[in-house]
Amino acid sequence: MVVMAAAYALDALDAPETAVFEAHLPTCPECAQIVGEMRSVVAALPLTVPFVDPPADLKQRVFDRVHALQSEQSNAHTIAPASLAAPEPRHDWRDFFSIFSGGGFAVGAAVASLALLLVTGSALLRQRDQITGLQGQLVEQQLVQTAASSRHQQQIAQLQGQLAQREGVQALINSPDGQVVQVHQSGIAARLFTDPKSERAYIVIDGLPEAPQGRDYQIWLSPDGKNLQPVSVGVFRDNSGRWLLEANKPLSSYGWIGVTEEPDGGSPAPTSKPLMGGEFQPES
Amino acid sequence: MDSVQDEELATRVGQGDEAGLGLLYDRYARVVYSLTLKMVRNQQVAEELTQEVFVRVWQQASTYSREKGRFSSWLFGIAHHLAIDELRRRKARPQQVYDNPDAPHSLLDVMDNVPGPDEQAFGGIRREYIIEALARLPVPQREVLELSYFGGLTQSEIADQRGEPLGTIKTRTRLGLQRLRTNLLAQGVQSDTL
Repeated sequence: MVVMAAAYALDALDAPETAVFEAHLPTCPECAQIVGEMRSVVAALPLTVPFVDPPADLKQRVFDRVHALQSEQSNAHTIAPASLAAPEPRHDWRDFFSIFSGGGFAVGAAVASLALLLVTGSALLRQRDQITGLQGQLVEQQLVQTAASSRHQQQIAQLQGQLAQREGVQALINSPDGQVVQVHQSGIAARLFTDPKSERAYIVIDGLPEAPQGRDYQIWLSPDGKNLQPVSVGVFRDNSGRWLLEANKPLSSYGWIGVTEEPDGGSPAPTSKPLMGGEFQPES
Repeated sequence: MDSVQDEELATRVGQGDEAGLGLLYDRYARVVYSLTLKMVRNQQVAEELTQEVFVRVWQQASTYSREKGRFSSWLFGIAHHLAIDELRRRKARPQQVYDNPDAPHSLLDVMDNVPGPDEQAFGGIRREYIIEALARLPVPQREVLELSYFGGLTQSEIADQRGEPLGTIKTRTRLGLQRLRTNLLAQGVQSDTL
């Protein structure tokens, strides 16, 4: 899967491969780290193109679209006019002034007006505080929900990834044409579960030590072990080898498998003597 | 206002700040338009894609966070996805850079187009650094990256087109990106920028 990370960062996997890799990604910190690093490099590639100015009116066209969207959203969220109407005041302000009506004092009216402003202003401030507080609570609740939702989605993705892998392996093992081929050499054993008509194989390698610092193991397939033009089918570095391999043609086209130690990231062609290599003969 | 960080502008846009969107447009529209034009090779489609990119920034800025990487990475990712979708939808591949010596966007054209000192750094990476880092790659690795990224070809399609094993293409892709990263770091680009 590690070898798919670079292609994924480049959007260069086809749809089924992308689905498989995205199911795997949440379960594999190594792949996630590689994808993160690769994406940062990929994001610099647009800077290599010859720059061309867009049409002058394109910015306005963007904002026209934005305003149209805002208008659509505004219409969608418009509350019925009746509910927008101001609520009936419990007491008409003229009732309030009526206490002074007997005297008809202008000063009294002014004092009353000021008192009304203060009372109203104070109430508005309290309401605003309440709204701010409620908005804060709402944001907190949304954050908690989002975090929980994100954790759940990650768990689901992990389970889906594990399931997809198991189903893939199960399909190979249960295939009516499925075969198991084994190669042993120098204490290293490779077992391939494959349908020779397919391009995939589940490989289990035992007996390898952890790859040295800065080195990877690379798996190669070749039509035979003599006239080697091997095809790289995977790079790995740990010693608990269980991988789904993908070749570029049916496994029946190959008859030799080998593992070499290569510089970090693998090599276009083997640069060292195979640690393990042997012929196998899947029947087509 | 030009000194305002992209990420801060994105936050503002997420809160409905149109001026922030305008600043991001001024900063990145040229790159986005140039990228989509190179990929889809059609001016009208490139304009539509560029428009769609910034509308999506408006709609999705509130979902962006620094944890998702640099804002420019996020923005270019949107542009690239849209252009790839367009290419794969119409199944009309652009002319391949390395198959056509007269293609207008070969790497040599790019090298002639190295920006002057007034070109700003995008997301902390100066343009000439990435152009030089790309030029230093072995040709087979550079070809694979260009066919993938700008041509919108999948690994299998490149293997078919080049008549080379899929594993070789995958290995070249990974080595190419790794070496590109190494080249950028060697030029002094900070690792936290990459």
